[in-house]
Order: sequence, then C-alpha cells, then structure tokens
Amino acid sequence: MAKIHSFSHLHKICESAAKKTHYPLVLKELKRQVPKDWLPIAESTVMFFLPRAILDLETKQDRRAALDSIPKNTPVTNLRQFVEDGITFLWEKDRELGKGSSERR
Amino acid sequence: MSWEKDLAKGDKVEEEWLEKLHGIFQQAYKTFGPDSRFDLSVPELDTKIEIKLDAKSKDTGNIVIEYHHNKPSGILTSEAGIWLFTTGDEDIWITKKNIQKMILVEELSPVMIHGPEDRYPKAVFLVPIEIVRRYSSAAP
Repeated sequence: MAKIHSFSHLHKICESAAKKTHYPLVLKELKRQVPKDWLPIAESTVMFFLPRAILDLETKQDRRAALDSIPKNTPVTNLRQFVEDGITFLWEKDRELGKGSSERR
Repeated sequence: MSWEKDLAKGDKVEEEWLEKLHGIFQQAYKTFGPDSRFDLSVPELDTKIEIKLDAKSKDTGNIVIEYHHNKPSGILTSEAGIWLFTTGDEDIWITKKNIQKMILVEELSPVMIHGPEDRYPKAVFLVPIEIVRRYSSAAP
C-alpha cells in the first residue's frame, strides 16, 4: 500500500484505479493502494476519472458493462447518471477535436 | 471570517433570492440544515437551486467547487440542477451538468483546502472565474 505524499499523488492513484472501469474492481484497487484514512476522499475523487476511463474502452459492450457495474445505492447522488453524462461530455469533446469516433466500436 | 459569519451571510443571500423568486413563484421555499441537498426549490418549475456565496473569488479569481468534505459533498451530492455562484459583484448561473462538463472538458485538477474554521479538509476544484462564465447560462 502506497504512502500518500500529496493530494496530487492520490489524484494519480485514482486516475490509474479508474482504468479498472468495472466499479467494484475500481473500489478494490483503491482499497489495495490507498491507506484507510485517505480512502473516502479517494472514492470521491475517482468519480471524476471514471468517465474518461470508460469512454476509452474498446467496445460499446465493454462501456455498457462498466456502466452496469455501478450500483444504485452509492453515497454519491445518481452516480451512474453522473458517469454517463461525463462520458457524453468527453465524447462530444473528442468528436470536436476530431478523434475517437472512428476508433470506437 | 468565522464559519458562523460565513453561514449567516450565505443564509442571507438565500433569503434574498427566495424573496425575489416569491414575486413570481409563490410556492418557492428554502431548505434548512447542514445536510440539505439543495438550498431553494421552485416547485412551479420543478427546479432546485444551490446558492454559493463566494466573496473570496474577487481576490483569488477562482470559484470553489467542493466535492468532498469528510464525505461526498457539493457537486457529488447536490440534487440541485441549477447553481448560482454569487461573488458580491456578480451572479453566475450554471447548470449542475455544465459544472460537471466544465470539470471534465477543461481537465481541472482537484486540490485540498483546509480553512481555519474547518474541522476537516475539503477536496475542491478551484475554477478560474472566466472559465465558469464560459459555461454559465441565463438565470432560470
């Protein structure tokens, strides 16, 4: 388990944990890497990395499975909707920048 | 400024907006208590509003968007679809979805702040006020 040197260090761990994309695995990864006293804030911070991580998955089925792994009863209000909206915002941004849509299936 | 004074000022701003809204929407009401998931509700519009007094933004140039204060908070838990940031000089209306969009699209990084009156540190995004203006909309 890593000792947290700074908030930006925690931030990096959250970004990396989000790449597990399946929500229970994301939380498991945070529990593996983050000391207990930092865990609640890590669980909140990772929410902002999940949309990018899920959008970058290979297929639509993978993205759907990742979204379906988010439970309804989380401390965050409408977490699934929050992540789904985030994916849409990033997809629109990628499209404007001319990347992503042709690579995604 | 103490936490109580901050709270009282914020409360006053909410009361003022409630009064303005009552001129048009008679069913509008204000919530009470620290765990409220919105500040004002306008049932006629099926709209909930979060009001944030951020007078310090005039000095820092940043609007504070909180998401964790000992537990998920602010943008992660608010049920308000519309947020109002008031600096004292300016009122900025923005939808909750646009706040989220702004954080993701602008790739903002969170920071921890620990106010002198806060028992726990807060995880927040410090967003330059001109960026918030770009994602803002007209008052409801």
